[in-house]
Amino acid sequence: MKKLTSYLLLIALSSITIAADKHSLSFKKITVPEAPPVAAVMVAYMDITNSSNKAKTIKQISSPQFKRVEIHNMSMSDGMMKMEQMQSLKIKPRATVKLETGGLHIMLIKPVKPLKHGDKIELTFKLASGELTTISSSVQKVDLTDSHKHHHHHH
Amino acid sequence: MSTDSNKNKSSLTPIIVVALLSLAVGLWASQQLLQKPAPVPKNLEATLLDKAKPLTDFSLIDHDKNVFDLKRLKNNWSFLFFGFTHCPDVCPLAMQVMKKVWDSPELTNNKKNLQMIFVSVDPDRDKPELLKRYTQYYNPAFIGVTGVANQIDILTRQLGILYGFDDPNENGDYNVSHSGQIILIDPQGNMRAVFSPPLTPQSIVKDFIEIKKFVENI
Repeated sequence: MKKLTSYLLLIALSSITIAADKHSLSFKKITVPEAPPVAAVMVAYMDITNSSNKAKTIKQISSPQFKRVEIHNMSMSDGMMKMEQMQSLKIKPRATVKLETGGLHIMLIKPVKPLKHGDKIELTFKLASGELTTISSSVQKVDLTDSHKHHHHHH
Repeated sequence: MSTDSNKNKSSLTPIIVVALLSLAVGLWASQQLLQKPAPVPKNLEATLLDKAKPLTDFSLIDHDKNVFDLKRLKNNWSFLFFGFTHCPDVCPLAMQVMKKVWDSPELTNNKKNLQMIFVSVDPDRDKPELLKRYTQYYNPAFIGVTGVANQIDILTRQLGILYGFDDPNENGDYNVSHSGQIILIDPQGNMRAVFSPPLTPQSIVKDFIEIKKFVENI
């Protein structure tokens, strides 16, 4: 009986691991700050966690609310803030990548229609493995000066 | 008795006069000391220029297509940020910082002598009408400015602001790399201070009040 229980437990545990591997990326703190209505670009910040044992690579992101979505990295270069498009974003096993002000961010290019606070947006992430994950969020009025302060303190 | 006291009084008079005079001189001198060389503010996060840097004239246009030249920077304290509206990360943050500085309760009484200016270094895409809607989203009092490249450069070079256009991608979009500083200009049209990232509204307000006090007492 005891043996059977532990056997069943083992099966249960392994199936959890499989399940976790299937939905290996989790998205937290998804933030899409409202921008001026004339803005041709918006931005999305979030924490992306890879809870699997394998590295995951985001190859492409798309959204029905935007013409194009790109991953960008902001860095200081020659005294200027420079943005660089990234072809992919690799997330190591059991690691979290933070997309936040002053660093990595998802650039949302050319809204199909102007978006304001409360409007829903969807983002579909295509991984190198072919896996697709869709998340939804909404545009919010965000105090960027606050998140920046946090960013500054934590790093 | 009365003669004695009278005699004493008369001999004391010059002493009193001298004492009062030196007191007056001392007071005057200390006043001069307190007022004249205003102490240079310390512990600023901002970079205060050792010497005010007078600016030479330039000719840009504001979001209502009026001329925006050096005269427009006079009689006001001006905060200037240089960016472009296709900027997803740095510029919205800087605009929010300017908005918080503008809205700070410490500056309520100074607003009529204060102006917040967003200079677009990307005149091909940032036309005045668009700039107006962009800046007014943050605050209706904010001023959007742009112009022809060589006039923008006359201003940016004097202020130490750098910018450069990246190569357009396959969609024809391009990014503009640019400095992230906010520049403070005094009411005589002199560059006075530089606020560098990370920009925090609280420290900008605090430093601005000290710099203003210092400049007004020189």
